[in-house]
Amino acid sequence: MLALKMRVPAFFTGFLLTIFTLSLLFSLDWRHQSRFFPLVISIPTVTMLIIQLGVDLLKPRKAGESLGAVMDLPVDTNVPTNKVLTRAGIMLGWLAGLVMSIWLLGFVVSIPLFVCLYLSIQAREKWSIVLIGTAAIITLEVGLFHKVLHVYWAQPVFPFLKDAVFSVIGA
Amino acid sequence: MLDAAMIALENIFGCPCYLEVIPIPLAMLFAGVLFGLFLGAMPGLGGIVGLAIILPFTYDMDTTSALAIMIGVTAVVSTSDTIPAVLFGVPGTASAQATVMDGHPMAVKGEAGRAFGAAYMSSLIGGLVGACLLAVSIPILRPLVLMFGSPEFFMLGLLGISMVAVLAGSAPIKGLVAGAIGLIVGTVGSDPQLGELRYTFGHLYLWDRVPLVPVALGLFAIPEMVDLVVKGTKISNVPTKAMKGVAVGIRDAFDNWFLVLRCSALGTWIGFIPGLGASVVDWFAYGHAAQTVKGARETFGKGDVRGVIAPESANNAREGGALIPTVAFGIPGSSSMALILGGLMIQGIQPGPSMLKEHLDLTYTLVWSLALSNIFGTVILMFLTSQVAKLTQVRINIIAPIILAVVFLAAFQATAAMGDLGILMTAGVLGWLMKRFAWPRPPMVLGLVLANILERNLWISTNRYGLDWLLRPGVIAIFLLIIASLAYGFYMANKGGKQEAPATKG
Repeated sequence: MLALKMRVPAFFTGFLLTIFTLSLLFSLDWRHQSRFFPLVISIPTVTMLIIQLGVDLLKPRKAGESLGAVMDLPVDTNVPTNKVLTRAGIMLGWLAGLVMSIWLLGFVVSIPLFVCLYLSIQAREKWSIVLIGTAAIITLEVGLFHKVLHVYWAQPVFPFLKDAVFSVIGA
Repeated sequence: MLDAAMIALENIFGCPCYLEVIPIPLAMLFAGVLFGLFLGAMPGLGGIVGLAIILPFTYDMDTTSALAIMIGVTAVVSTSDTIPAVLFGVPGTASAQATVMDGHPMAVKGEAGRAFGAAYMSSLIGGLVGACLLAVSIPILRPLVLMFGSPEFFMLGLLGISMVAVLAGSAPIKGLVAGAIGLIVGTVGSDPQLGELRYTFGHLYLWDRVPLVPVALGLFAIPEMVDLVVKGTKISNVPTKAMKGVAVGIRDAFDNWFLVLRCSALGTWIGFIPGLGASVVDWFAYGHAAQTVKGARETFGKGDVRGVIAPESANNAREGGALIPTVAFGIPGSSSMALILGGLMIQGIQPGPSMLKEHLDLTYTLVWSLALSNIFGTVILMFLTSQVAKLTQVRINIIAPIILAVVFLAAFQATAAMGDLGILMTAGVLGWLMKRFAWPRPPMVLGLVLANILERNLWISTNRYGLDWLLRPGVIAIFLLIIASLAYGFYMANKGGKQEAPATKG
């Protein structure tokens, strides 16, 4: 018997449906040339997403059953969901911190700082490994990206540390 | 023709020599190969970056050396980009995205050496096939490519997306929607006809469209690193017998010789079509393999060596294909070929029909350089494989911050704007959710790559022909292929679903 149950995958499908519906509505305000292609994509996609949402909500599925084979990298299902969410949250938190640090202090300071702090605090590695890892990323950042590729590093909010580093490595 | 080929070979192996022993053009070729291998192994960098760095140095070189070093850099990038793709699930360049699909699961299973062996050997064969096809195909392919107009290009793009989308296993709709996500993200920015801003929400960064590099790195690299950290182990818990695996991988490439040849021809053909290029060639080949090889639906995506062989043969063959329109028509087949075109002009050579009449020896210099670069690159990487494969035994907590730092640097150098990091993180979270909820990510990347091409060609077709373009023979032929591809995908999904049915009914 088909039963209407709220399931987590349906939330994601619903999220995509919302995004595509909004994109369709936004495109209605544009001139014909500009909205032509977005409309050609959005209209069939919204239809397909409604069908998929119906499948997600109505198709019988046992608890813990796989979401189906997909041509993509496999997901390890041996780790309990609460651990997955906690560990992924911590990792994404580190990355969000890195983005914030880049915005505040600049790339040249934040990247080695991230590697150093992650290896010492999160990974709890020996100081020798922390130093080798940090030195490797500094060499790559300064040697390849700064000296060879001449990457233009965006100006951070607090540039004093970046300026100090540049006075050592050369701007 | 044979005379010109021999003169070209003499030019590469002839003097002037370093220390009266090493021919300068050969040394330049080798230097280019080493630089190209390094760039390919660095996520986010690639042949274009390498050529941009090399180009200023070619002013003072003789023509043969200049061509040799430029081809050396570009030819092997798609060989070494396999390293991060297999070891960490991070595509080294856009053309290694499909290699991740089966290469990384092979590394997890302790078969990194086998994956490398298969990849390098199929890359070598692909590169040589591309070079041979470059040598013989110019007069044959020219009329064929001239038959292609905007309607056919549009349909070809749709065919690519449909081929990859229906590989979505048990839910082809998810694959098609994922392709549509890529297409809609590709429309962000100023539209190509009127310059009207779409989905930019007042952000200046988004005016110039969403760049591919941060999206591809975010979709694949961040979710993979997060999941490895979640598992908290090494990349592979299986002891890596790399050298033994290399031999098995090489044999795999020969055992699947017909797949290698088919994908090499496909890669050359796609490289030949200006505008498609590196970012799609691997997906086309992967899609072709997934639809044609036996048992692919059950094994692809789980560490099937044929899923490595197909994209790797195609992406190396593409360079030969991309050189054909560059040399014969003066139309670059890819962005890196645009820089090679610039390099030819620096040397005072005008690419186009004159390359086939007055400078045929230089055309063959390109062919030889391409073939030799692939051989050098493969041999060098074969020697390094056992050491490189040992990285799978290092704890992920040591590897993850360094790889992620490189991913951030690579994403940022795409446009050197802070917005790149926002795109990287957004794509990272989206990619992780898609992976967890069994939505395929490959069609999304392909959609993003093809959005601009599809929109431009759809608009030109509609404006130029009205609805009559739908009746062009080429369009009808490709349309039938799309229908066949979709029908096959839905049929296989349905068949798979019925086989699973007893387990899923509750």
